[in-house]
Amino acid sequence: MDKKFSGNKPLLFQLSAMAPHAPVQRVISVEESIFQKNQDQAKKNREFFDRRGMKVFNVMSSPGSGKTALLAKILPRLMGRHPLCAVIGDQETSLDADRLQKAGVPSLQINTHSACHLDADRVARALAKIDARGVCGGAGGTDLGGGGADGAASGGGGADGAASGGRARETTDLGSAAHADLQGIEWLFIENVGNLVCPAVFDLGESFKIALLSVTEGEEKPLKYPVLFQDADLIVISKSDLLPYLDFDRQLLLKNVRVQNKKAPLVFCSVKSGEGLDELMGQLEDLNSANISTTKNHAFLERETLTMEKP
Amino acid sequence: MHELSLALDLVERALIIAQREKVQQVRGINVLIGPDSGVDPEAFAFAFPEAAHDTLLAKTELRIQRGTGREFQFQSMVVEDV
Repeated sequence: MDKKFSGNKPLLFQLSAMAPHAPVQRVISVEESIFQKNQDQAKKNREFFDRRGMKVFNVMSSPGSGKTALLAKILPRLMGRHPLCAVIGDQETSLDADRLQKAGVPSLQINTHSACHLDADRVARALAKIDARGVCGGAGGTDLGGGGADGAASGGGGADGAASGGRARETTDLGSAAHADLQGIEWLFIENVGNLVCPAVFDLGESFKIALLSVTEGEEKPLKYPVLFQDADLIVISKSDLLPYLDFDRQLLLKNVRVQNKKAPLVFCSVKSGEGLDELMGQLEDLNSANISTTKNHAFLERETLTMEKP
Repeated sequence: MHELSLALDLVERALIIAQREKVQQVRGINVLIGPDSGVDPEAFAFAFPEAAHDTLLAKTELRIQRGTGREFQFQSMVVEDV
């Protein structure tokens, strides 16, 4: 307590004596998650995907662990069974979307510029952009292979300028647009910005989270960056062809993963040797048919009605 | 630094409430951040003044209470009416 208020007189008297017209203070109880805004949009995204029967995979890892290489390898093989497209988040450039596009995968690049993660609103706006540009080859969604000819599809480096310019004040309403270009699309892969920390806490409205970790990153990453591994529905250990050259302890990694996540399937794979790719694609099919709802165990409280505490 | 974008979300939400409640001043904002929330309290405290810059919350005190799990809550705001 400040010395000025420590006399014998009652505190209220002192306060009113010092500031006779003191404004009235009150406490407004809010009690809602600060993730709420993102969560509101994620819910809209999820409803949109559900309405269309789309399954959405949010692929997360640190930079350089091979997300794009893996997607460029397996997505062309999966496209025959499941019409699909990809959205790729990076701070700058459209290099990754170009790579996927070259592999025949309809892709859209999102540039986050200063931001270190994708959020639900960026994904919603990407969906609108896919539609506007005809990334997936127009309505019908069956003509998916010929994306390369459509130069507009992969987008330039500055393509997402509008998105970074100002923060959207309201959630993006996905219901108002037709999104004809996504017609028939069954799977959407979202390659998040390379980062083990930030993407993990932003729900994009995805059906499943996939965590990728390359063997060169070491066995201890699941312990150091727990959230990403805790929430993953599938854990992929990439670059397994390098194992002979590393002092990598598979058992230790497995143990560390299981500290964070008891049940997510774990697949070792290599784009170079092809090891594990069939198994990985099988796991994606399993997730697809499991049809589990992935409302994560984020200690996430729904927005409550505001209550006022008047003094 | 996803804390900055989350601080912006907090400021935006607080301003909406302040406007609706027609408050004159926002003295303090109370948040609860748990160790498993994926949000770093120091980074969030660092980001908040930046997010609040040039708004009604520019001089608002951010009070962070530490939680025990995944909490990341906007608890309450202390406001002054006319």
